[in-house]
Amino acid sequence: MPLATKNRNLGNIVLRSSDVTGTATLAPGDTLTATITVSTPKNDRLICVPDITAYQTSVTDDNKILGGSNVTSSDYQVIGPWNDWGETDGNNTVTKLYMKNISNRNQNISKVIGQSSDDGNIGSDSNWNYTNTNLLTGRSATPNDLTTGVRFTNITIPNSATINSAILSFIGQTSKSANVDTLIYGIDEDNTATFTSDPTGRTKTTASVAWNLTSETIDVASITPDISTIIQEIVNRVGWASGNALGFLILNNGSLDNNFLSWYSYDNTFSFPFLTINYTPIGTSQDVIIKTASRAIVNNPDVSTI
Amino acid sequence: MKKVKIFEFENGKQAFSTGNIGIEINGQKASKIYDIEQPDEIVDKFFEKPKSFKVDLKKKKIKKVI
Repeated sequence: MPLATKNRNLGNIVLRSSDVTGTATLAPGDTLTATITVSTPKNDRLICVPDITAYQTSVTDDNKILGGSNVTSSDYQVIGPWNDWGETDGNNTVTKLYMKNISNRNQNISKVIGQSSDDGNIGSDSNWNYTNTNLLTGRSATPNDLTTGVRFTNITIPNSATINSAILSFIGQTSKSANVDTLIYGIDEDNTATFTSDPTGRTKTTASVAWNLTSETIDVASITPDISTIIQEIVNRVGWASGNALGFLILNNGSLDNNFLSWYSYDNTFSFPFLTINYTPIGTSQDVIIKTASRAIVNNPDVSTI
Repeated sequence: MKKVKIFEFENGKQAFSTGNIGIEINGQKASKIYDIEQPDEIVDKFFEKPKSFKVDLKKKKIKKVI
C-alpha cells in the first residue's frame, strides 16, 4: 500500500503581479471605477480577487481608506473589489473597485452641555449664575427679564459648511402654562469661552430666531424652531474652525411679568440642554491611490508515490 | 524604466496607472490615453505621493515639485 499519492490539487501560491498602482484626484462627489486586469498563464489558477489597498493623499498606513460601508472614519465610500465575470475570459481576470469621495455628505452632530459653567442664566435677582439647577426664560414676577445662555464645545463642523437644520432642546423642570416670547441669538465669536462670567454682553449674531411658548411639561423636551441661520453666521466667520465652541443666548422678547418657564440645567444632573445640527461640509479634493497585488496557484511538480 | 499610462478626461481631469489598471471617473472613460516611460524610482515615488509631482505631457516627463 502506498504511503502517499501524488495530488494534482497541491500547488504553490505565487505572486503574479505587484506594485500595480493607479491614482486620480477626486473632487467631492466624484466617483472612480478602477478596472484591474490580470493576465494568467495557461496553467495558473488566479486566487479570487487581487489584494487591493486604497489610500488618500499618500501611501502610509495612516492614510488607508477603509472599505465597505464604513464611512464614519473616512471621506470615501468604497465598494468592492469584485470580479467582473462579464469581462473575464480564459486568459484575463477582470476585477473592479468603486470609490466615491463623500467628504461633502450630509452629517449630523449632537451635543449636550459638558460642564457647569457652559449653561447659566440671569435670574430674578438680575445676576448671572451658572450653578443653579434650572435655566429660566421669559420675565419674572420681580419683575425683570430672564436670560438663558448655553454653550456647546467641540463642534466639529468645518468652516463655511452649509447648515441645513439645527435645534436646541430644553427639558421641562415642571409642568406649567405661561406665555413666554423669546429671541434666540448666537454669540458672534470664533470660539466663545465658557460662561464663568456673564456672557450677555458678548457680541450677538445678526441672525436671531423667535421662540414663543405657552407651556412646558416636566421631563419633556421643548424644541426651538430651526436656528440654522444663527449657526451659519458663526461657522462662516473667517476664524471659525472645526472643534470650536458655539454659544447661544435666549433673551426675553416681550413676555409679561410672571410669565416664565424653567428647564433643567447641567447642575441638575438629570437632563441637560442639547443641540442637534445637520450640515453639509464643502468637502475636500484629494488624491486617491490604489495599489494591487494578485496571486495565483501554480501546479507543483508531481509528487511520486512513496 | 517603467511605463505610466495617463488617462485624460473631457472635463480636464487626469488619472494615472502603471498599466493594467483602467480608470473611469464619474462613469466616463478617458477621451485620450498616453503612455510615457520614466525611471523606476520616479514612478514608484510618484505613486507614493502624487501631489509631490507634476506630469509634463509635452515633455513626457514626471517632475518632482515639492
